[in-house]
Amino acid sequence: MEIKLENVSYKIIKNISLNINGKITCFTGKSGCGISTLLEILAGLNKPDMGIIKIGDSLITNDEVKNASYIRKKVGYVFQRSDDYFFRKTIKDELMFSLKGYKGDIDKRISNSLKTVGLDDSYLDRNPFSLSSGEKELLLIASVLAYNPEVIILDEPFKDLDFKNRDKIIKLLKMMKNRYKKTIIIGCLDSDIILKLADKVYVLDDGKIVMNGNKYKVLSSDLVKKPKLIEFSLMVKNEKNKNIGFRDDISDLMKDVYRNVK
Amino acid sequence: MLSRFYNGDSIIHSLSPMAKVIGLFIFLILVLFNHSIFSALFLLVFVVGLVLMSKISYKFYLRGILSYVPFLILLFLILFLAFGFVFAFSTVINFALFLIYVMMVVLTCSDSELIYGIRKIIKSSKYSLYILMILKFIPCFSDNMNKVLKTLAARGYDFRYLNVIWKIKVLLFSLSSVLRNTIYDLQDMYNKFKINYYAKHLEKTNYRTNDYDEDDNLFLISHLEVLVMLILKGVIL
Repeated sequence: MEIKLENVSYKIIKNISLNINGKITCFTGKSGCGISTLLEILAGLNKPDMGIIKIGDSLITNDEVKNASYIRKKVGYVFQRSDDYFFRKTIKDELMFSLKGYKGDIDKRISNSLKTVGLDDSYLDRNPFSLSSGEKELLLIASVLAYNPEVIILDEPFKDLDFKNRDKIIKLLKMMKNRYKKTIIIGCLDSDIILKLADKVYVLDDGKIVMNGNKYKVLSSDLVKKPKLIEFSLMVKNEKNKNIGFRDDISDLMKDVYRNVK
Repeated sequence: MLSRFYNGDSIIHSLSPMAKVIGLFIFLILVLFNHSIFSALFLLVFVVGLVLMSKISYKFYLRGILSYVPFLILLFLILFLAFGFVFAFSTVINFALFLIYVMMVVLTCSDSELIYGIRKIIKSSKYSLYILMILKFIPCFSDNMNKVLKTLAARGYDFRYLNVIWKIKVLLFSLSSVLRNTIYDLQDMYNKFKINYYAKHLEKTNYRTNDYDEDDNLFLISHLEVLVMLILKGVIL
């Protein structure tokens, strides 16, 4: 499914035009540059002050939202803070809440969405708030997958995760793209994740897109290097904040890219 | 974020936090003892004046107060059934004005300045921290309400497009979540202050960006004038 922005302005976002279709697209930049606001626009959660948002067959302008329920069925949004998302007593209720109006076998759908993210049926009767932050993130993704949207938007999904859960989600997102042909959009400040996941990268600065393209091209460009629009987190640092080596999970390919960018 | 300090160069920003806290206290007296529609509208003009002087977009205040609208409606209905229209209407307007006033204080005054202002008046670090938490509750609740409503919208329960029954259901669902998240946020803030500012063995700096001056006197006199005027009119006391 295609998402198209035409000269969209909203709060910090200034006059952005772009077209996303079928790939894993990452938005990155300095903290506070407007990534979350832009992702919410792409999800159709905010009306623009100016410009047009096209999400599949639906259209959003400042005056109207055409086919709002269609957008909600087609676009899933994984929020940054999972605590804002849950409010039912059990995980089963939580997942059922996302499936309002679904006419098929709800139990099977819930069970499948949990299994897809690596959680099993034993979690169904547990309280969402009894989970670890990594499990909460996985549950958040499961609740989005439950209603099978064509586009999945994730706002900094790797923020609170350990390496094991990070890899789990990276594999899951790649599978979503390759096997199920989903469009994945991620807001991410970590260049490590961008290198592992992205097909296309947009770099934002102060609400504007300052660069876009292939991840290697973007990460090695002078524009990104000089003002340090992306912070590298591939290195292990000592007490004096000096780089003392690569993290254990960094591949040779990424080490090469890092050295080139340096 | 409504619970965050917005730096600015307005006259309200430059006031001493102590004056803002005393102003807030006088305003609390005004809204607590006022049950006339006329004086509620007069206070509305007064608060709108302060909001404009703060040079922070009215949309912030509007977004903050919108989160409380369902509760204001509920309060109105209860008071209307118990005491009649005039009492219910003036009380709800007064309550809304107090919420806007607190938001104005929180938006134009950093947390450390605000706690300094409170401590100057009540001379207790512990209780000034409690009062700060009470003040912060109002914008924090709005922030969390907006966040939770957004997550609900993403799951197909967009408040704008729901019918009345679903609106009530969604509010009931979200209320516990909003309260829980607000309490967590305040707990984090409380711990941060306790560690950074009020550890007994640490010395505190006396550096202040906004000292008490002529503008603060004028600010408080304007509040006292309103108070005296409403007392003379027989609206208060």
